[in-house]
Amino acid sequence: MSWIQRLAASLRSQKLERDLDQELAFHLDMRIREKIAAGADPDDARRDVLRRFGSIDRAKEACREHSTFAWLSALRQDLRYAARNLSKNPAFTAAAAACLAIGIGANTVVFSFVNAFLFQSVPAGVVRIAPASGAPISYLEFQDWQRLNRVFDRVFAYAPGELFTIGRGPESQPVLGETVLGDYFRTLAVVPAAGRLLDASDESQPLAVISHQLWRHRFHSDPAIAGQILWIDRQPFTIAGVVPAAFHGMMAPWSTDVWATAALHRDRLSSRNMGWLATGAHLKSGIAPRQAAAAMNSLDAELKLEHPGPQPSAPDPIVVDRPGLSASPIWQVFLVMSALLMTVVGIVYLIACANVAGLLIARAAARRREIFIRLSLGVSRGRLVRQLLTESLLLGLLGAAVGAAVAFLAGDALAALFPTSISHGFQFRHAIDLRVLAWTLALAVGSVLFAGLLPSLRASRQNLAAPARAPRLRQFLIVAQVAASVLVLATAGVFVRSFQKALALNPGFDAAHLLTVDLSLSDLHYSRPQTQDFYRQVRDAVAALPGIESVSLADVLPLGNRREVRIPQLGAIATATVGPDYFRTMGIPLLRGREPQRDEPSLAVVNQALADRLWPNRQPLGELLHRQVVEVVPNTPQWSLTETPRPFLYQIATQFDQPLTALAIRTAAPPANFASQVSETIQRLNADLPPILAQTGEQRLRLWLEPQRAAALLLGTLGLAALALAITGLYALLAQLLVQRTPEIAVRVALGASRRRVLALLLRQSAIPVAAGIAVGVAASAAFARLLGQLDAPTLLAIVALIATVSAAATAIPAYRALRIDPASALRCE
Amino acid sequence: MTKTKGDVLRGTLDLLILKTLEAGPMHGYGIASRIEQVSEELLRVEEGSLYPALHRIQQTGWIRAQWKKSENGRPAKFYRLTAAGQKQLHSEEERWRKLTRGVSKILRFA
Repeated sequence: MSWIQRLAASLRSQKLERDLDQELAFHLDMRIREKIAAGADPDDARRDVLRRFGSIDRAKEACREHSTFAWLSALRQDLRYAARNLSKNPAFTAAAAACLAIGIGANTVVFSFVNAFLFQSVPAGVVRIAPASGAPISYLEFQDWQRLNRVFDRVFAYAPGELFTIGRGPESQPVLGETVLGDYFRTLAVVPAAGRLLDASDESQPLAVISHQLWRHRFHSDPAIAGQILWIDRQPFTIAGVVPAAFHGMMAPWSTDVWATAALHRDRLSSRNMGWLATGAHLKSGIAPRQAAAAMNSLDAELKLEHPGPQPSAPDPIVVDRPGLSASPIWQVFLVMSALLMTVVGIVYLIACANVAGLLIARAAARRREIFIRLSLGVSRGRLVRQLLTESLLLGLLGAAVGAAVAFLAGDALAALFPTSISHGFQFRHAIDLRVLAWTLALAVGSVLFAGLLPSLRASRQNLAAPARAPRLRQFLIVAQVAASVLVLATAGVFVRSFQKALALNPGFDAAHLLTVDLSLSDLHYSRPQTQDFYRQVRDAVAALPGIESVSLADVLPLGNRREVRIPQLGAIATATVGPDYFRTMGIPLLRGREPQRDEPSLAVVNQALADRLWPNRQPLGELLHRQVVEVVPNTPQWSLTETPRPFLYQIATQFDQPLTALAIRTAAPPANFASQVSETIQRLNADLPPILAQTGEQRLRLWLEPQRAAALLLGTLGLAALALAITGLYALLAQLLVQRTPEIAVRVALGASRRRVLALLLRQSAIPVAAGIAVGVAASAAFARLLGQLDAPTLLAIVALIATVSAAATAIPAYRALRIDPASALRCE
Repeated sequence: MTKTKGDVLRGTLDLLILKTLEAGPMHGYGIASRIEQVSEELLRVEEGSLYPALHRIQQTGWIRAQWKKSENGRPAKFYRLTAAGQKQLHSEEERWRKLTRGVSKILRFA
């Protein structure tokens, strides 16, 4: 108790005392006056009155007992009683608290991850503006929208999910970046943690804002951060400020680390065809999203008349809706996963509560005598229930404390499981904050309801005439626990299976013999011809190495590729510029046509989806963007492994003059053997190059499988936790049932039943609720699996077999022990 | 202490307090005096248990307390009957009537 509380309590009781004194003094005074008025001597009157009143102290004491704060002392008494009881039974207390710690801890961990993103709220009135196709818009379009619209008071644009390299040379580090334009921060109501944030007037300046995390780790929370230089992709930016820890940018559940003005993309600022921006805005007051959409569509129509494209494009109306501002390809997956994980940990929590309920029932049976004596001594039922519930509350709080501590440690371990970044700077962030603690506390209180209520009500109803037996409740608990563990294990099974499938997924290229290098020549300040020349040198030098089968340049490689080009009539089509050897090098097979030759620029290759759209029914291949299409290749995922196939255009080039280019290398032996050799070869061509990182195709793929791997791992762990809880719960419940039947077993054995037959009987009897539980669990899993995807029969069968074996063992062990007891001593016990 | 006047029967004190307060708010001294006066001095409230009883009844919500100026100008704690107290009073009265009817029948015939 802090000194403030102590002071408050003493003030409160002081006031009570004073009230009581005054009340009694008034009474005595009035009586004395009455006597004096009747003619008595004042001293006599006083003596008489005091004698008649009796002991003033005893009256006061009796009054105090009924003071408003009596319940407080009753609570203190209950707590003391509960604490004493729990500490007298350390085994029970440890078991129950451990169950609750697992149940609550699992919830706290998952919530600490979900919390950071689900509750990153978007202020009221903020909407997303986007063409229905979801295509990004160009800078000039954004400018027109910003300037000409009459329905928004603030408009902003952003290019999320950019990979920035910050710092220079050996200290450089890849981070997740975002180019922001317009009133991005003000509209999203982000307040700076240090310095200031960017606004519409900063557009042309090389300014940047950094995340709280980056500020802490790279700049050691330097308070004088504003004004320092941050190199982004080898260009100096001035740091304007730091965003608060709660703001994560537009790529949730990944956390953005750097927000920069468009100074990196000066080349894009004069184009109307280059779509690269997503837009959001704040509605003027009184404007509904639907009105805004109508206004934006008529504005768009005017603009299209004013700036007609090369060819009339397909209608693509503008949609204005509440965000969903996350542009991350895994956001939807993350939402589904969050809901699923919360459900699963919720079930784990309920299993834990059922366990504790079972333990409490068992203990109530052991405490029958004590409870009966208390009831006979006149303790009211309400008070008794309150005392038992206080015990549950203490257990819940104990479990929550352990659970929160474990969650705190496990959270870090879990975050470390995802390699600190999934694909470079992409991080999942988690934190134990007030909201997480409140959630944990709520679960602790909830456990009083779920675990404590039924057992304590039942315990308070006991009497010695009807011996404490609660077979129906316990059997129900067994059914529920078995069903819940089947469900959790089946859910884990779905994810482990789907991860296994994803591992076996065909990425559309041959990752097993692929080595990749992302090259940036920005530091070298080459002219275009020099750049072209240098890339040719790199290609030839690598190709000349022994064991290299072929080498190709490409501006972007699959997975994470967001480049798009506008094609008349088709709209925005995903694209990449690649060398003629690209398909052979990547191991992408030919479906139709012929491979481009080394000396043939200005050709194009399309994927199946684009070919089907342009030339269905195997019509002859035509031209696209003034390029002859010579080949059709399979649909290769370009942005994420699980995307639905979409049209893709490969533009063939023999010269590469952009400073950012990738190298695909096909090797004869495992590609990892060549990584250092390739890096050294390239580094030798120019010492000013930043460190060269060669990644194998499989390393690249693994980055994209991380979320699935994490899901499988997380759910697998939860499944095991659920199983462990269910096993101990089953064991405790079945063992308890058997202990109560020990006399009956002893009688049976004494009357000559063979032990084996008794054992078989016991196993049969416990098999009924277990089988019922399995049936319910399988039915629930089947329904649940339809939501999630496929659950194959072998996995489900394995789970059923596991549960059945475990329950049989949980019965057999205590049954065997019960059978070994000498019948005579068992009977004497009663 | 001379026992010339009948001490209030245990358990009936609550009923008497509630009934007395039905007439309007009153302080402890007033309640005691009024019970004696109305019962024509037949009943005498044991003062040492009056105040604990008042505090106890206050806990149940049947009466509320408030400090007010008394008739002679000194502040005193006035007790007032609440709606719940009114209801309780009715059921207590009913119970009491049944009890006395039963007891007097036995006294007549036993």
